[in-house]
Amino acid sequence: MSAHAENSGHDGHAGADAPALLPDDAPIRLPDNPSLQRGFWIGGAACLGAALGISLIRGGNGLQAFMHSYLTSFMFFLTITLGALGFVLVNYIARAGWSVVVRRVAEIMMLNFMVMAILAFPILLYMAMSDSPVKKAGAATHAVAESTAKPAVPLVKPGGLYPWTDGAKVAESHHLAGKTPYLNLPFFAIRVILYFAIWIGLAKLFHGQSVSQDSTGSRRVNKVLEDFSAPSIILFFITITFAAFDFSMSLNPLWYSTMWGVYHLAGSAFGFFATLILALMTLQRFGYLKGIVTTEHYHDIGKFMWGFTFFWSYIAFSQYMLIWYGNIPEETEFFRDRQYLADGVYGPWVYVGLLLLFTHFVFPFPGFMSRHVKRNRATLAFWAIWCLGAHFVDHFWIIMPNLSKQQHSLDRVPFGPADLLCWLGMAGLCVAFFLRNASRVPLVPLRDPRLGESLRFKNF
Amino acid sequence: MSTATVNALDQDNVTDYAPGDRPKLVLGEQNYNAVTQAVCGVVENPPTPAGWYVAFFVTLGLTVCLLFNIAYLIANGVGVWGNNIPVAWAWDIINFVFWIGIGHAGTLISAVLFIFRQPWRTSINRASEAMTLFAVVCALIFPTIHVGRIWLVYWLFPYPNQMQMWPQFRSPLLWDVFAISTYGLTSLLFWYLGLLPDLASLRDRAVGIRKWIYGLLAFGWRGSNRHWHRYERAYLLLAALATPLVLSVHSVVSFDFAVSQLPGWHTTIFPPYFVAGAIFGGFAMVNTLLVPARQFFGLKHLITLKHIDNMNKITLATGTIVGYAYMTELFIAWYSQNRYEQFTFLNRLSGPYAWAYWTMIFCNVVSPQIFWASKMRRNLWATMFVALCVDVGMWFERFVIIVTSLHRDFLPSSWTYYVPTWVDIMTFAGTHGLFLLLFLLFCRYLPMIAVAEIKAVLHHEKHHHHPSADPLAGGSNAAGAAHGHH
Amino acid sequence: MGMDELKPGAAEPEAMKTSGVLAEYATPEGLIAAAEKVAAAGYRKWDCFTPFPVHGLDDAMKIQATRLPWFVLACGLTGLALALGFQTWANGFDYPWNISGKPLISLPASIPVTFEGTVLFSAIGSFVGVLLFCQLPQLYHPTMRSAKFARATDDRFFLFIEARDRLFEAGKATSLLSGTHPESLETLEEPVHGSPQPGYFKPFTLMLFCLLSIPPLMLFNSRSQPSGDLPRIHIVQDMDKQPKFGPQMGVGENLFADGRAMRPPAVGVVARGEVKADSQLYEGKVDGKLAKGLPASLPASAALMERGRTMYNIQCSVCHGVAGDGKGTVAVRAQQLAEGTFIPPLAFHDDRLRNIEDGHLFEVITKGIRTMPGYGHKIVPEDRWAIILYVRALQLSQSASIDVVPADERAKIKPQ
Repeated sequence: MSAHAENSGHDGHAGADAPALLPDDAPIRLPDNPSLQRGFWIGGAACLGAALGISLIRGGNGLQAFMHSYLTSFMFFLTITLGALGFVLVNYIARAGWSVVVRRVAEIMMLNFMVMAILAFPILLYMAMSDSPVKKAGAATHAVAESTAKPAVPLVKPGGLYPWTDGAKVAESHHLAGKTPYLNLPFFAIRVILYFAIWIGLAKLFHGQSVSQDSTGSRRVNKVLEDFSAPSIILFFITITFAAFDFSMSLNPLWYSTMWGVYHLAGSAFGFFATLILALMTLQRFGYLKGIVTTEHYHDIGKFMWGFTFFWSYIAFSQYMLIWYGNIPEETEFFRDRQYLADGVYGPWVYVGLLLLFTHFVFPFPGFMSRHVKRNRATLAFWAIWCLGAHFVDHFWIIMPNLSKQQHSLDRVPFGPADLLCWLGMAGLCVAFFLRNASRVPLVPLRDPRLGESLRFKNF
Repeated sequence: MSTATVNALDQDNVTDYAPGDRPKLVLGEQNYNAVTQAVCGVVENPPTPAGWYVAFFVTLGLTVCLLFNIAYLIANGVGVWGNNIPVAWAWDIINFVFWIGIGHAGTLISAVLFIFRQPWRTSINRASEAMTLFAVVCALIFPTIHVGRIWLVYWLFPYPNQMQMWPQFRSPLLWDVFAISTYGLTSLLFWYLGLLPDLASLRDRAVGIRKWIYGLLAFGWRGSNRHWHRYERAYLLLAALATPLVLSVHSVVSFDFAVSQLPGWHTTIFPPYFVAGAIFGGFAMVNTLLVPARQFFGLKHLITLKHIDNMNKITLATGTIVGYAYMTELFIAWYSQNRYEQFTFLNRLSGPYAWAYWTMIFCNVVSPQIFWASKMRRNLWATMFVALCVDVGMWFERFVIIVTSLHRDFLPSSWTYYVPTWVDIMTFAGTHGLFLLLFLLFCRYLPMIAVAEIKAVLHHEKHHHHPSADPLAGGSNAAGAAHGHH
Repeated sequence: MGMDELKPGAAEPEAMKTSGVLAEYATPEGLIAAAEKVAAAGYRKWDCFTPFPVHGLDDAMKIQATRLPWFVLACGLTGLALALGFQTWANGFDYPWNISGKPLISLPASIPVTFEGTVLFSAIGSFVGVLLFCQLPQLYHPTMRSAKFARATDDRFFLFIEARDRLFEAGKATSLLSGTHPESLETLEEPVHGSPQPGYFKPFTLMLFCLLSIPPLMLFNSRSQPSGDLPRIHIVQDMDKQPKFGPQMGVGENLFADGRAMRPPAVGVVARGEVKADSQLYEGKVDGKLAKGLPASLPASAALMERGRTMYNIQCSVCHGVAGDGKGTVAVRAQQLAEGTFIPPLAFHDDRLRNIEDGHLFEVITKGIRTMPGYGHKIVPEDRWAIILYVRALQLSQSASIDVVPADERAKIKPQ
């Protein structure tokens, strides 16, 4: 009881500094391995280059196909990084105690926004090359639009990735033209820069402050970050919503869904928890964090992964069912493209949709409902890998049909080596950056006041 | 404990605490018997505060008014309400959604906070679960009476009948029937399971007829650990079931609107938006009820300012989510370039019902913002003010959604301005009476705080519970954290 | 709850037997330590009693994990199967019902009720399961005979070893427990004979349950049968029973003998304006045979032709086409959709139809033919004749030679 009285902060003072709880030889420091990092950097870049190469060799709008594959993998990794940021923010808002030992790994993951910012650049570049805005405002006829539209760079199809960059198409459609104040390349670029500025800013703030606490143990850091976390979460919600609108909803510029931001949020959390499990298990495989991150923590992260399996399914189902029920062609177009070739004739994309349903919900939901599955490392790892696969299928199903539609080939599912190589490439780059950042800081927040609670944590 | 001591505790109540420490959730005397005495004492010891009797008769009057209005409605038909084409749903459905939404906070506190291992839920969960049940009762009144031929409302349930017909399962109105029934029953079971140990406490302290009644209701519970083992599993399972259930119930309610093709109704974000709004409104109602209750029943050392602080934080958070949904809807209305959608939202902001819209924005988005300041979160007057604002604001949110979308839809020749009748208004006022009446009876005759759960929290606060000697815990300033298991 | 209070005037001393040994502790830690000892000693029929669940006690008592979650899972799966199955059967098979074009078995629309059914059954399973597994309600237990035991639900912690345990010997149990430093230790007794609970309790409850379930079952039964001859219970009368004679109403003997409220018209009576004397105009027949030519009251004129064209374009061209070639928009669309049941409408431009009687055309317009519905109720007889005139003109237009066209008009016709 006296400990309470001492630290109860009657006078509003944050209290005495937290002590270091772990012995000096605790396995929490990843050594810097420049050659390993270099391997991942080069390997990653090489995979991306190979993907580009394969696509260009294919010819005939190969670059367009490459950009779609690239965007798919980009969204995959961006959403996971966003999930990491969200996790750190929520931990501070909720004053969570159980998760302190895993929070540092999540912080390192969220620094990957810097990699994603660089990876966003080719998208903007392609958009600039494929942008052919209409010079005269309010062009009335298609003919006029064609003659005044700035010609796009050859090899790059106008509106190749985002149809609204094609001035001719925009002029034709009254609806698209109305969206021009928002869907125009300069504003889009500014928004992208803004998103990444905010995300990188938040990531650096939370990580930086947390790392500073490693040496001082100052409880003031917690207070500051807890206070900051609430407005940061609001920023987080807003930016992830508009980023989702910009990057993936505007691929289909005539379609819209208010749920889109929440849908991506659910997927982010889902993908992040799976990645966290695998990251922690990999580190532990090499001897780090042994005895620090326990089955109890894995159980809890597994619970979150399971909870978000359900939450994602609920969100995805709501979106689908409401659009299905209303049966308004303007809205159902999105799902019809992913199910049908023509009235009553299913296309191959319906199998991808079913794959998504089964991998993202039907199998995982009962599959790791049991606590025994979550408490066993092997089964949890299996399901984490499975969930990452499902997360990829999700973004593939969202983005790639737009390619099929643009190329008038909805009767083909364009899954090929380029998709895998893009994914491997980005994975390599993200892992490289992770290793770099992880080697510079301890793998747990050494003097977080709640570390003790986290170390002793026992589940239900 | 004397009232003076209890009141003094508010000043002593610490809501600022150093990171790494966990707040004290029970103030004052730290023994189990004190807790039993404090809570059971309210039920057992006369005299009831005079205020209780006054409130009882007022609410009883309002309940009688409700019954009269329902009888009047049945005798004369739905025409006594203001509903008409195009505003075919108005106060009836607004009130239904309002009451169901309020119920959700109770389930969140009971079930979701339990899943998230938040020990501070233990002093408010019993009262808020009871509030859920009473809110569901009030809510169920409306779909029942608004159907017109109330004596045929049993047709909604699937039973073999001479017409060989079945209900139409593809309708969200029927999904509502199942969702709300499930919700009511599950909340009742969850509430009752929690009550069992406390009823046993009351039984063991009572004599005579009261002993009989509490004895029968307690099912012979005696605190056997073999029973506690199963009890805890069942409690966890019910909490785990109630969590998706609470999501689904208000989502199904939102489907009533979202499956239509009406601009302003047909939008995919409705399910989580409605759920967040429900929790928001519900927490406001919990505060509205508990801030006075803790005062009048001398329970301030159990429902501490820290509890109020936490509830206000959740109010702020869910209010922000609701604001986020407003913002998304407005943006997508513009982005869609669907002129019906755009008109609907412009009409909300600047049409004949703009006064309702801006009331809603002030009450839901603006008023909770004072809770950014920690001083305001611990100020009981600010809490009551915001709670009442949000109660009003959430009602207006449903009003804006339902009435403004309906009164001006696709066909301008049908546009009109809806006005409620006195029957609408009195019926709604009457349901408040019923709600408060049931809550007053609950406070008087049943333990309004979960005694057994508080004792468990107290136990954890008094003793660190280490499964074995922990070599990693060292230093005199080691965070003396309570795990907060149930 | 001391059952002694229930037994009226139990004055005579009965034979008592030991029911067990009860130890009281002030702290959970003391109880846990004692429980570990008792478990180690090998006792099976014993229990701890606490006002709140004490963590660590389950392990100390070596309690096996309960099977309740499996029971709940089974209930949940039952609920899922029932809900999904019932919806599919009721709306898809038993009484299929097209609602706004939704498929009869619509999975997206079935999900909400299925989910609720799963949760409902699981929740009931959890609650009922706890009661079943704990064998509650159990209104008597030997520990209730201890006055101290009332604090088990307040602030004390108890351990009770039952005499029924095979290892039980009063002395041994007492000494084992006293080694754990309890606050108090007592040996409890209960009557040897007579059941602790009133004998009537169980059969009474069972009978009560059966009786209570009769009204709903009766109701259920009555609602699933036709009501037969019973009059409906009509609560809100409104203006449903009016003192007037409705059609098909029996009106008793007061009025006409045959039970009617009005007399049928005499044979051959015709209403004013209903005399259809001109059989050619109204039936297209002369002397019972299909007529040729327009009726006398409707001479051919430009006005009639114009009327015919207007009415033809409104009523007939949708199927038969503006040129009478059977290529109206409906026909074209139906061919596109490849609707197998659609019989294409006739084109008028063959010899059979050019030579057929006008009366036949009149009959077809009035009564329909094959899958064409009759238009008699929509088109007055005069207009039908106008249409027939126009149809003849159309036929002529597609079968004429250039000689029929006036000379000054010939130049306008371009060669095909």
